[in-house]
Amino acid sequence: MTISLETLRFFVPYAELIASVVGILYFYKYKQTPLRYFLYLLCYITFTEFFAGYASETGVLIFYTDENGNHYTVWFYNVLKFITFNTLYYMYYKSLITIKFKNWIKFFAFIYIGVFIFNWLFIQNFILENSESPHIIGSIFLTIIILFYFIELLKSDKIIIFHRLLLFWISIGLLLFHTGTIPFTLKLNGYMLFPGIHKLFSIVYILAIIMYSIFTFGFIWSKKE
Amino acid sequence: MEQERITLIIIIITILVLVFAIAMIILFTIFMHKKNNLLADIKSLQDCIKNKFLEHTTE
Repeated sequence: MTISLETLRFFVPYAELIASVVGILYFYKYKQTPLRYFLYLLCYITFTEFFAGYASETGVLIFYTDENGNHYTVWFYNVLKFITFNTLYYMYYKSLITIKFKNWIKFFAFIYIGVFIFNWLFIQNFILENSESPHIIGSIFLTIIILFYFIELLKSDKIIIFHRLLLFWISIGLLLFHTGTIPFTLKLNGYMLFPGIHKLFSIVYILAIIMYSIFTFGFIWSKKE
Repeated sequence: MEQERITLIIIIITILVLVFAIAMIILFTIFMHKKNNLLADIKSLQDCIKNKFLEHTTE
């Protein structure tokens, strides 16, 4: 049995939806912690994914349509990525205790916002193209921040129940997705212009489904904080 | 041909990067388990010393 790329793509928004719904159901576990921002982010990602699908069919909030009648929804995802990386940085900034790591996160966020604005103004079109460079830099910074979290976790007493910590599972999911998609993101715009869905998109879809499944598992398995 | 070469390079780099990420996760998990066991050992040792001390004082 082979699973087509269309099937994989179809499942991604539903994997997000399941993670969001499970996150809402277990919100009482972490509503007092900075991890609540992660749930808001997850709901926003799910909304964007479904709304972009709706917009590509109806043309709502679409600023560019090509000669074949294709509506470009790329700007939804560019805004989404900007909010996603900054929210994740903020979440880790609030969750970590070590001052040195916090300062590094502030520095990373500052650089990321700078690169994003520079890319938007001078390099890539915000409406027509995926912001590749900010995505790659954002992913590298996020990977480093997750390493900071792991180092801090290793040094703290929380390690006794590390497998019951929600942030541990969120970090595992994010680490797999963001490191795995960096190479493909380098040439994302080129592959988007291929007729149909290029087979390389399976990397993103499979990793996204794995990531949201890990989030869902983390929401269920984690202890109240 | 050129495009296929780029696709192949991307696949290889993705596999390498994923292997690195998974190895890192496994390594951290092993360290965490080791520290976890160490803390459990220390705790049992503390309990043992405490019991011995109590035994000694009651005698």
